[in-house]
Amino acid sequence: MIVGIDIGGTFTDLVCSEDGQLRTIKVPSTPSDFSEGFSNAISALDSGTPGEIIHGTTVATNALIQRRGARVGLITTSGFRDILAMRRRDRRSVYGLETAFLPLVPRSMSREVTERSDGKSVIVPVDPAEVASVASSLVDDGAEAILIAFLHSATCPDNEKAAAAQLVDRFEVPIFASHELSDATTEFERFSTGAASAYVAPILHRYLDAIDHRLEPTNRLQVVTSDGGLVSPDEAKVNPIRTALSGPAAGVWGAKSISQQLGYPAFVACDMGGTSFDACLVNEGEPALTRDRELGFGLPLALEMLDIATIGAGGGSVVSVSSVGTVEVGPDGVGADPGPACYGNQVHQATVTDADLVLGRIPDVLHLPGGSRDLDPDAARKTLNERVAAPIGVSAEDAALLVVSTVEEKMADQIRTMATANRTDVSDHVLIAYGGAGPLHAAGIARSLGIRSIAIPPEAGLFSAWGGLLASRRSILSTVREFSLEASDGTFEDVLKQHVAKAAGSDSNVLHTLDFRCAGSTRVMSLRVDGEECAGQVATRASEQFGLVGHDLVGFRLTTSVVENPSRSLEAILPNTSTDEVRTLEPREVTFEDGVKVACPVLDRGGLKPGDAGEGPCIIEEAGATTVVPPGYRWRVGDVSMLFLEAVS
Amino acid sequence: MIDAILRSRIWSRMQAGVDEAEAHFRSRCGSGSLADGETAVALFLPDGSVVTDGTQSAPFLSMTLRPWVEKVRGAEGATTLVSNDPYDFGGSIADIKMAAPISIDGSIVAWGTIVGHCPDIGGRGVGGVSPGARAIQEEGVRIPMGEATADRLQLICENARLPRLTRQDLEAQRSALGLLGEWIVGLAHTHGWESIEAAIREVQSRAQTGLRKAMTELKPGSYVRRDRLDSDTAGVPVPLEVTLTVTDCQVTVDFAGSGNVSPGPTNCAYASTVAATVCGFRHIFPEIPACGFGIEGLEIQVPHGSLLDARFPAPVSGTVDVLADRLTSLVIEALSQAVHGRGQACDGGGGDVVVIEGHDPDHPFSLRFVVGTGGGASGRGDGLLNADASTRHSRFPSIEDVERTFPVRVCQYGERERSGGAGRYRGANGTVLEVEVRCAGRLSLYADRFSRGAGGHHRGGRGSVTELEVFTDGHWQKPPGIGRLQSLELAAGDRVRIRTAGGGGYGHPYERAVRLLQEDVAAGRLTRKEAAKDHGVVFTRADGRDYDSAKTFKLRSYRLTSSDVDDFLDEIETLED
Repeated sequence: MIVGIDIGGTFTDLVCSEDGQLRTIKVPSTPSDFSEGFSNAISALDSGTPGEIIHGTTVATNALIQRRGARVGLITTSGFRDILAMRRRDRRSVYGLETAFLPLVPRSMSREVTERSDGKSVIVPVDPAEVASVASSLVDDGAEAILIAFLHSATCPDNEKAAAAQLVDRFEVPIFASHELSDATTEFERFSTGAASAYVAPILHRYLDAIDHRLEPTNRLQVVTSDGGLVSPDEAKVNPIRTALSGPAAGVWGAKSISQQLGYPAFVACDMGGTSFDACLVNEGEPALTRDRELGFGLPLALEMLDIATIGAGGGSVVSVSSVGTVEVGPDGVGADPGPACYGNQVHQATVTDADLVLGRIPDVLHLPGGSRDLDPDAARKTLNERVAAPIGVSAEDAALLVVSTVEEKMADQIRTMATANRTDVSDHVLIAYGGAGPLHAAGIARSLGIRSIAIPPEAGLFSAWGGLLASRRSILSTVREFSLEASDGTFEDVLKQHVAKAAGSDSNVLHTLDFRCAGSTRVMSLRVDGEECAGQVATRASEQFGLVGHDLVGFRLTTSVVENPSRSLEAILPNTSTDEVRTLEPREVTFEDGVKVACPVLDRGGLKPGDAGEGPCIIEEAGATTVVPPGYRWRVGDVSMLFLEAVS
Repeated sequence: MIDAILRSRIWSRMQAGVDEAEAHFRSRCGSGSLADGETAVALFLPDGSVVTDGTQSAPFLSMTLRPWVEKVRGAEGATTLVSNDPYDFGGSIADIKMAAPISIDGSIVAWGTIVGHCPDIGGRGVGGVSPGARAIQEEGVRIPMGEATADRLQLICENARLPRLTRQDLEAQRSALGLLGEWIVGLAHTHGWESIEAAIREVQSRAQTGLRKAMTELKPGSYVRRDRLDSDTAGVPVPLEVTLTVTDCQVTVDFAGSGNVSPGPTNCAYASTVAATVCGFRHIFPEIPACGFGIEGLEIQVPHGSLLDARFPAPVSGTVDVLADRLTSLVIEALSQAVHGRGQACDGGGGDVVVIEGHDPDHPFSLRFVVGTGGGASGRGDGLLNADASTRHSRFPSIEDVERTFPVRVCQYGERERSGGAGRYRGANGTVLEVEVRCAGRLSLYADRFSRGAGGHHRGGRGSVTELEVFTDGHWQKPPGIGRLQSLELAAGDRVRIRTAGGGGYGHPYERAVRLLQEDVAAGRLTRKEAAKDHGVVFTRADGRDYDSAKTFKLRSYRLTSSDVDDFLDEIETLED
């Protein structure tokens, strides 16, 4: 039996796969001690103890966003104590005036030591005694974790290593060295990643220890990381911020498994939940990695993460009318508490979920694994009327249609922006939709992007939890060294050869990515390279793909990702989720885009068998998610209970 | 009136198209500075009224697209047009603007426009900075408005120091404009142009009404703010003055009292003055979309012959780097007096430009830093450290990238302690940047606030002035000229250190919370002596952990009862840090 657990701010989702049956459990999260909810979920299983537990956690991210982390001391290169506070000389927003930014490490806890390297070699060696004395003063001033972050340590880590060696075992607080946490060759992004790791370290350590304490000796816990890989709790503690995006990464990894299974190498993964929309664009089977992501203003993370873009657009996103009478959705949300107006706890803010309810797209009883919740359509209608429909002078239904199309276009825009940056045409991609609200809006997003095929996994609402069951261990090898691609001196070939050799032997998916820039420019671009390519071939491809003909190209980092073959296949986890207990659901009136109400058949997804098919309009319900099949779409159920939607015309 | 549903739908698509075009430009250009944000895109109707601009567009550049469209929309048989003329269209010669008509069924329904602040356009100074220029011919090639033919673009590239990057930038710019056109035509195909135009007109009208309503927050009266610019010739500082007059139906912004045309590049064309003024209004009323900010109901008066009405052949390369931001700041300051809760003290400046050029023929290079200054404080909190100028939206490069790419070593980059203005909320400190060159080169500098720091608000203190030193021949020295340096020779091993200006403070310094001062002292932003003198809090420990509440109370209340605090000050003098 293997178990996936995803802890969110409101619910802890558990998915259990045993003998080809997928069971789901939802228990309330316990924010005062999340390990308690974790333990409650496992207890609720009451069918023996799981062998393997795959865990996605937002403990680190929440601590960071809510600024509840540790008091971190920073030891840095003389002359550069303010790197975290200086950022990149920017502002929060284009218009409007600004107030101060508080970095994760306050200036009073940021201290300098004499040392320097130029990126190739050490110029001024670090003095271990000075480092020890500075560390000691930081601990005296209350440091709960110490980060050593020196200039150029990604390419020349000698001084950082020497300083860390001096401190490890001398102090009880965790000691981090920036080059071990991020290989970014830009100081602010690497320092920021390091500071974030040190900042969340004590909280994540305590959390993982508390879980460990609650587990049976036979349990084997693995944590999902932001790159979609799995690590042991001890490995997670080494670089705590690696877990920052573990939920979305698990979902994308699950989507990747589905795409492989179905033979779609190019897909768009769309995860729409209560507060946010996460999208990942995959062109060649493997999701791209990025080192460029901000968790907030002045908080970049530069370590390998799946290239997932997030915007504040979810079921709970607030709908407002702008000063010029146009409707806007998000980025603010109501969260699970008080929730949308239809939850009955507030009447001040209309949300996307309220619009969906007014249109009949979702049922007025929300079925969740392990329970249900009555929704109040009158409250939804009243709030939508007051907040949106009346200010722009339309009916509640029209306002709701507008809300739905606005949020769908917003999500499609996000995907379009990613496609522009990647120079990709997404119209031949498959859209894989999941999350509580993903299947609800999938057709709208797909239509806007010209995508014809949509796949919706079973238990779509809990996909982030069970997608993790398909994750596998992943190792990333990265070499930072500068070389010309045009006038190759063999450096690129040497580095690539070393990477290929290290990756050889493992029967795995190996992916090499080269980061490069034009000589004289600091703008970074990335290109996938083949294990047997030479510098000249890469230069030609890069020139063509990025329109750089005539430029001197300088490569500076080769990253190789080795993904072990997953120990479990999709069929092993999910042979067939249809059940014998089929609910008979009443048809209900649903308003579609043209504003006409249609008496729409409602099907229970649990009762559908592979091979079943039909035409829209119809609604397909399952616990935790509702799929809308609009007019003009056909649906069918494929292997492993996958639901497909195809545009007819 | 167009249906509200359709209006909202069309509007969001329109905005998405403009944003998509800008994302396209930034992702395909060659220059880092463009990718990092020195661009703007805007869409106009054929009558010249603005539809919308990019949500990430640089504010000042975006505003300069308005005079640009005024000119291009009259062009006959137009295709894609290009120009960098700063007198007619605002900005500087490095701002390359393009425009293309968007036609449906043979008639022009809209104009797409786009601008990029090119990192180099030839001329005397590298990186678009020509502090020593005395005429526009020294700043680069001026390209009159004309069709963006291959020959014309080639002419631009061949005159730039980095022709390949420039070519890539121009091609990205042109294709972004094409993309915008396709988007709008596609939208018209879906909704019909009549509906789109009706939606635009409706939103324009609502935005203008919204602005008029927001402007009623301005208290009627006359508000004067004065500032001073450094002289281009190391002479007397140049006055900058604005009088904001608010009546029931009109707001007048009058720059009378501002100095005459400068011999150097610290000038801007009238079009730039208008653009920078409107930028100030957009910062104060950020909730109003671009199309609300026409200049209807807003009168801008610029004295003839002033540096804010520069004409051919006056050099104007200081517009984007210094003058536009100073004007915007001045307007924000004036507006801050007239409106409650929206204002802010003055920023330390628009970002000081330091250019180091290597002239070794085997290793030519050009390194351009725009060094941030301290943000002004407001009633909501301290100023933002290392703030980007209110007219820009771009980023500072990584020190490690710079050292890898150019033969320099950065010795220090951080907060310039004790340079922000005192106040209930402090102006942010300026920045200190020290760079050593490792081969012979030349230094050019275009910076300001050497003679006058950023002003505070509501009794907040003034920020420190900018300082520049060069380490050469074994000792630090202040180079000649104030804030303007053209091609000062540097030998390998020489160093350049700039300390930029701090932001102005907000509110009386004695009202600053003790807990904020504790962190100020612990962080080394203030000495204990300054905490006592400027803020009236007497700390008993050098790390700021304990303070003497009795003495603090007495000192702070003396402000109200007596001006005689000499006894305390004597005692404060004995404090050691």
